[in-house]
Amino acid sequence: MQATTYLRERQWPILLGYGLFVSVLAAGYYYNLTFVQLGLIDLGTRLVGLTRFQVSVGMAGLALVAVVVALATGVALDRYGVSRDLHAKLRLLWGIVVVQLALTLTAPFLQTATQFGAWIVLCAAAIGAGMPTTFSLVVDFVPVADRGPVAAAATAVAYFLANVYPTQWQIESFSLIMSGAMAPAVLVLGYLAFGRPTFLDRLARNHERPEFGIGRFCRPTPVRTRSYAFLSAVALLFGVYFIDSLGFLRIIETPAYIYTSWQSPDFGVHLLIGGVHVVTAAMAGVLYTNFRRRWLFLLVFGLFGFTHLMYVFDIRAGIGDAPLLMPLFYSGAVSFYTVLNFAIWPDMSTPETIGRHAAIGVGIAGFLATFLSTAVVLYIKTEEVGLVSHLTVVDALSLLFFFLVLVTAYAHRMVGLAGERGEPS
Amino acid sequence: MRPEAVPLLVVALLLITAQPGVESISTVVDGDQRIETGADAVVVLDGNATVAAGTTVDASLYVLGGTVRIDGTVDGRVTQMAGDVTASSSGRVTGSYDVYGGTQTVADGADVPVEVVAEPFTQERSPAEAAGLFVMQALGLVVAGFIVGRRYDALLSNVSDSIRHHPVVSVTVGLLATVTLLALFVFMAFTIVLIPVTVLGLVGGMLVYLYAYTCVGYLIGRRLRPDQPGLATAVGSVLFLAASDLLGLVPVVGGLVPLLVLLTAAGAVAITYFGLREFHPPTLAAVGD
Repeated sequence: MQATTYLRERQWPILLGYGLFVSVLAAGYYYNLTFVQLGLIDLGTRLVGLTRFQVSVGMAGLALVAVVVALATGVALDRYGVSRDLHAKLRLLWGIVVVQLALTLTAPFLQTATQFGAWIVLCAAAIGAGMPTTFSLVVDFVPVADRGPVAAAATAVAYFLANVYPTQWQIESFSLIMSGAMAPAVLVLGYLAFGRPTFLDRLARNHERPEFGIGRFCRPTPVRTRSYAFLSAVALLFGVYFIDSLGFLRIIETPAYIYTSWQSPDFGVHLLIGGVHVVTAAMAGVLYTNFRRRWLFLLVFGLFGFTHLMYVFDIRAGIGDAPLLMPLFYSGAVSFYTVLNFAIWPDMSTPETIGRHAAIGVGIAGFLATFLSTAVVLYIKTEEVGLVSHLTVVDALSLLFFFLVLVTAYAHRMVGLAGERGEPS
Repeated sequence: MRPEAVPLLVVALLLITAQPGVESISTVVDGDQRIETGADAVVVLDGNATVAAGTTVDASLYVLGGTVRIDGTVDGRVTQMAGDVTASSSGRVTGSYDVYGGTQTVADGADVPVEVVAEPFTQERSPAEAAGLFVMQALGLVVAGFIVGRRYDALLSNVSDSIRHHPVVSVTVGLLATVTLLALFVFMAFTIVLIPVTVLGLVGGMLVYLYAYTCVGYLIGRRLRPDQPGLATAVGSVLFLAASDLLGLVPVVGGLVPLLVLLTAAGAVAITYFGLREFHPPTLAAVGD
């Protein structure tokens, strides 16, 4: 790891940059995992009095607005040079966190569907603007060589915390803990953004150094937005998020699975799942650094396919409480693709494209996939499709993607070899 | 599920396939469960399973772990390989009750025809037995190590280089592959149709681990006799076996260290394609103009 060299050389500003990036990314993801994905359901159904269906529609709307705002922000960041201005990025991020703090504080006081809708639009805008802004910090804070481990650290922290706290999925407790954590973050970010500490000036030019600015897959030539490499990565991660949401949205509706794992009253189960996230995130960081990305995609699709196969099997043959093996494998698969998602977009970007690529990557592959899978799940529910059939579809999709990655990898290699044969010696 | 239950599970599934009329299997993996009619065979791997008083379960019961309490009727056979089975006075088993391991507590009045088919292995070994087992294992490793080391020097060299120079990625791949494949084989076995694949897979896995063991032996032995790879591998394998046995005397950590080394070696075997090529992690290419 490059970080060990910086540690030996006592380059504290750079190491502080690592810490800042991991903190911002992990905090943002934790917010998204808990407050948005889980707290919103409680807020809509219990406090506002909406049906689960209406809340799901609201969440799909949130995803759609977030995509649009993310794309607009990402393009603007690159076009107006904000991606290459660390101080401007920090000021923007501070504004976003302030808006999110206000939204978090007001959430438990929402009472009507209109207020809920307006809150969702504002929240989506903040998340959408926050995504490319956060990712664009990477070109100043994290050297290319360490992006896998750094992505792993952010994933591990976010998922571990999300599993161990809060254990009650209620908006009041979410709001309390989030506001408590965000208030000091607003102060620290405010100091960094407006106080202009000297160490930031040194980090602010890091994106001009190739070891920081030019992503791993942009060597020797930068990846273009309309290239096969970039679009195939978007399509594959879109598939990953779609499959994950399609399965998970149904699993969390099944009490036998959710109450014996993610919502278990046993804190030990939460700790175990959190621990598995940490271990598998670390493994994903190692694998990301040491293998080509197609292996990682194969692994993720393979794990999802296998995990859903286990669920289908348990529904058909299991007795009583579901075994923990399934959520543990599920957690592993989720950690793997999250690390991939955190690392791949910066590594497919340069300081000139980081805003746009991160917005397209996270927005299309993450949020749009979630929006579409939510819509599909709602349709499936209205059609009264059984749990086994639903999870079998998810399993089939995972295996299909697994197969497609294998075939395209092989075909890509074949085309390359054919090209080599065709060239005059 | 405990990893040591995997061989028992495979044996149980083979027995199930030999039993006519079994088309569906249910499993108990953890928690407190009540066994009810629904499947032709019920496999208890862990947790606490109960056949409630006054109920009749029309299935064969396979106990591989956990505890089973029979207060009602099992209308089929019971096969116990491990775990604890308790039958109360109202408990009844209509078929045979074959015991290959585990403990049984049968109350007076229970209609449970317990028949111990095989005495379970005792965990405690006398010093002579332990020494005999060590010599047998060492002999096996010497033969395997000598043959493989002598014939496949280049392959072992590549694997051992990866163990030395890329231990983190090796142990990561080894752990991931072992856990995933073990779970995959177990779930394949439950389909019944794929039991032969499971058996082949487990045998293949054991051979891979034997090869990994030999690679560790090569790594150790090469330092002693670099010019004679066969002899070096044989000696190194025995030294690793002895070190593992000695470390086994240390609680917890003693067992983990050899396991970690073997996982690393298995991962190194995987990433070098059994030593057919050296492992080189991707390096950051220079930036073009």
